[in-house]
Amino acid sequence: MSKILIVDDEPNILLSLDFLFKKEGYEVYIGRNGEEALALVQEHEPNLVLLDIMMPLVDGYEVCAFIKKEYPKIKVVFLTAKGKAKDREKGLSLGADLYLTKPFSTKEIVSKVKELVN
Amino acid sequence: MKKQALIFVFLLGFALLNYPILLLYNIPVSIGGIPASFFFIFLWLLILTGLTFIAVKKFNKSSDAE
Amino acid sequence: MLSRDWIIAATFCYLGLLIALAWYTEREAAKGKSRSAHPWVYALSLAVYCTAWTYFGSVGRASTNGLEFLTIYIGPCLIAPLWWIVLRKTIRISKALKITSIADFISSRYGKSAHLGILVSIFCILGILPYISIQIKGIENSLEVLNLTEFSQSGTDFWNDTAFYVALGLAGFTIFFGTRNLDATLRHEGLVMAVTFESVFKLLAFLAIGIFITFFLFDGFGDLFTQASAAGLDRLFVLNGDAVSDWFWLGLLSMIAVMFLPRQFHMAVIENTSEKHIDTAMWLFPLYLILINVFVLPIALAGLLLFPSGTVNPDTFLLAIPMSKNAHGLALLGYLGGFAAATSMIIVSTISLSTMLSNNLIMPILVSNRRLQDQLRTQLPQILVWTRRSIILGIILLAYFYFRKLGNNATLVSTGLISFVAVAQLAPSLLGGIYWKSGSKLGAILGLWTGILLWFFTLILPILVQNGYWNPSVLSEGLFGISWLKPTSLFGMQGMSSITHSFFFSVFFNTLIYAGVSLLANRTSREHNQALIFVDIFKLGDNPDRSTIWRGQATQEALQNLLETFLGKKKAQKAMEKFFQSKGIPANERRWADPELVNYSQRLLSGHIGSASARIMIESIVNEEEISMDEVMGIVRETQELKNLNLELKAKSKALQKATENLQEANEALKISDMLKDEFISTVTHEMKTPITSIRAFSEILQDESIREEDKKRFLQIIIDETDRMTRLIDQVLDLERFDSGRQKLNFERVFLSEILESSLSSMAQVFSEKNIRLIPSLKLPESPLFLDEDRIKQVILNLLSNAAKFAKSEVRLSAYESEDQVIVEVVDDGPGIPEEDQPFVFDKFFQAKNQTSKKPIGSGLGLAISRKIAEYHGGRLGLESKKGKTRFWMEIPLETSIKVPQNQPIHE
Repeated sequence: MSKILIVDDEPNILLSLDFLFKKEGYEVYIGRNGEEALALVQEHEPNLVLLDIMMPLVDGYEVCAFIKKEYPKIKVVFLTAKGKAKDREKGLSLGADLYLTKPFSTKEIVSKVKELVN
Repeated sequence: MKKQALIFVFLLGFALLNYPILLLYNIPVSIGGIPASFFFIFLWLLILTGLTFIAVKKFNKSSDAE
Repeated sequence: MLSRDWIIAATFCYLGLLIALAWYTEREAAKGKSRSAHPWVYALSLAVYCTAWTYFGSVGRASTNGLEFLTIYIGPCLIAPLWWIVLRKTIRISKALKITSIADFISSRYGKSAHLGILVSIFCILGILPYISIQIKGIENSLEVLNLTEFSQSGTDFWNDTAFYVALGLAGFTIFFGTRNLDATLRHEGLVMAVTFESVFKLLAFLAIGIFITFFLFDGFGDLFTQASAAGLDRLFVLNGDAVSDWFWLGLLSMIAVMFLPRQFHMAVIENTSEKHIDTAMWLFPLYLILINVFVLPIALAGLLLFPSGTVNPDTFLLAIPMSKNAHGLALLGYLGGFAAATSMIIVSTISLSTMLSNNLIMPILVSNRRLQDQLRTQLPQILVWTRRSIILGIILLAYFYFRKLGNNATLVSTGLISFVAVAQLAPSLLGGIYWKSGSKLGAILGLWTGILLWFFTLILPILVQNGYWNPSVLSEGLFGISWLKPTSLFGMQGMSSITHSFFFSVFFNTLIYAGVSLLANRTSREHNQALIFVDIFKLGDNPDRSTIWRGQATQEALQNLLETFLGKKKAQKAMEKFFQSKGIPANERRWADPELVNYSQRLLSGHIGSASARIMIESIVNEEEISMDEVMGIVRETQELKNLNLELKAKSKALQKATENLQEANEALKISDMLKDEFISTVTHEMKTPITSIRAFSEILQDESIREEDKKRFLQIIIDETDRMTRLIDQVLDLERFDSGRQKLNFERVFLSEILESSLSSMAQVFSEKNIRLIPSLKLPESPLFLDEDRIKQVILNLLSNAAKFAKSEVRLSAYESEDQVIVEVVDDGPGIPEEDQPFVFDKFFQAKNQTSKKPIGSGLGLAISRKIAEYHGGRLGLESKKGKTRFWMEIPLETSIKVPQNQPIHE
């Protein structure tokens, strides 16, 4: 069973994603900020991380950079409200596998994640 | 400086060749057979002219300033 | 025995030598080799001061008054060192303004006054004529001594008189060398050289006779004085009481004369080529005077010893002694020396007087008549030259006949001193003119008239009485029988010699009137201009043309024509070219001449026809508007106003610059505000995306029908909450925008603040109790209501309280109290505090503290920004103080009911 880590500072978004992926049969971990995310990555080594960018303390870019350096196998998907091309480029240049913007389509996000994990 | 020096010569001459200093040598005394007044008047004139000469030469050499 | 033929031959040989010398010098000068522009030539030419009076008269005077004769030479010796100051300034002025004579100088100084020019000229003629006549008398006397006694007081007709022909010869010489050039400021090279030669010649001749008498007839000075003393002549060795008083005044008189006698002024000023020559003159000229005077007393004593009977006129001792000892050659030398002294004086005097008369008397009369001027215009230069020539001849003839009619009774010295006193009348207006700016034309004219009348009354009247031209009662009874108006003792003054008496009173009253009237008189602008130029000549640099205020118009063509008339075509064109070259502008470009060109032309003309005539000529072609002092002041004021305007302009441009800077700043600010706006919008959209994301996600999840009922309910509630959140956000953004743009309207009403606070407390009570935080109110508010927007104030208080609730550890205090003229509401919590570096940004939009950890506080990040705006809309402020464990937000609201609502406040703060 694939493990997914979802990181966001918005409780309702976490709740919706948690619900979605649990329903799809993933083992889901929840991180509410960058720091928690780093700890959970080291603890559980998930197959994929769904990552928000704008978070207090440690932001998504830093988390992504860490993961890609320490655990290159872990897929990283940015899921953010920042829709500018500049932000997208920055995210992808850090090694992220996918850059999705909010608000997202639940079907799309599920299928994309599925693709990446398999 | 030249100006001051020349004014000095003028004032000196004015004093030497006028009352009351004039009275000092305007006396019936002769110096080597020459009357005192005659002697001193020409002496002063020569000295004053000499001083003017010196003032002109000296201050013209040092500067051409007014 | 000297034959008459020998003497006449020698005389004309001497004159021939003089002519040859002058001729040679002029030839050389024409080739560009100026022989006479030498400091020694300059210094020696000044010895024109020593005339026949010195040559013969001094000896005569010494034989009766001893050393008293010396005062006339001591004065110049004393004043000589000051020439560097006074004479140099006079020369500088005269060169700059092309002055042609002393009359021209005074006329020019006092506004180029034709009146003054005429007055001074006529007076100089009257004053100097006797002086010239005694030169002829000197020649006559010497001829007499040399046994050519065909002139015996009355018998001989003048055409049989040798002196008459000598006078004519002199006139010819003077005319030939003195009027060759129309430009009176041009140096008379040949003439100067001739005068210098005469100076040297007369000195050597005098010294030769002096040495012959002192060292050959006697055994040196000592022997001569001892013999004289033995003969009872030692009274001449000491000045008696009266002489001591005269000593000072005559010294002063001669100081003035040596500079201002027309011939001295001519040689020292007009013929000067370099101011540096004064340096040499200051010592060489006194030395000359010392040398020529050292043998005067010895010769007089020798004469008295050799001719004890008194049959020989002491004025002729110089010649009589060698004659009596049969030293004929020496006597002839002495005669020629005396002739030299007399002729040099006559030549220079007549030239200066003729220039004076033609330029200051004849020309102004000719040119001031418009019709005459038009008729004579082209012939004026010829007229000018011939006028001068006839004046020279006229003066010499007049002097000759004066001597035959009047001059026989007086001694050489007394006649000469009368001229000295006459010339002294020029001193106040002249010296005042170069050192005192306030000296005015009216003062000069009235002062001069006073001096002239007193001179005439005290010196000339007695002579007229003596010669039987006036009732002698005036001498004993006084004028109109008034006893204190006796010519020889004004106000009953006794104990002064007639010369000293006249000199003192005439110059005293002259000066008094000159100064007094000048202080009271108004001056015209022209006078003012000239005064400035004269007094400040050393400050002007070399362009006096620019310093004058002149208004008027002249065509360049008319100016050129005028110059051509007097200077000749070639010279006029050259002068014009020179002017334009110095200005660095091409000629013939403008039709109207500028003031500088007009002044320049006038100055050029002055050198030919005198300043007053030049002014009149220029005026005839220039539509000059007479400028009064008031107008000058007007011009000055205009200039001042222009200056002020300029200053204003400067201020304006400064203001403009400042405005530009402000605008730039505003632009910068706008750019920043634009950036802020961009940032604001992107923040707002980001903030909005968050609830939308949740809403969409849950909506999609809810599409799946397999979801459990309780999840469904939960998710629907989330969707509703997020929608609310979005609504709130939109409301707040719009709110803030309205506040920022000043479009927000508040509903001010009279309300009690305490009511608002209490209702806020009760609505927040729930939240606080849920969080287990104590809320402690402390309200001490005035009884009276305040003028507020109730809802908005409540919004602020709720915002502050909910913020406090978010961060407080255990308690929050809400206090309200009155302080001075305001009410203060404060909310204090015991939370972690806001870091100092964040404090300035707390009231910014969307500021959210970094140290908010996992749990994101509820709120849009706009609350405090809006609250601050609300406080400001009430005329108050919102602020904070914070440290660890205590954060205090406060709001000040003025008690004043008049509340100004800011309009159009810029978005940025």
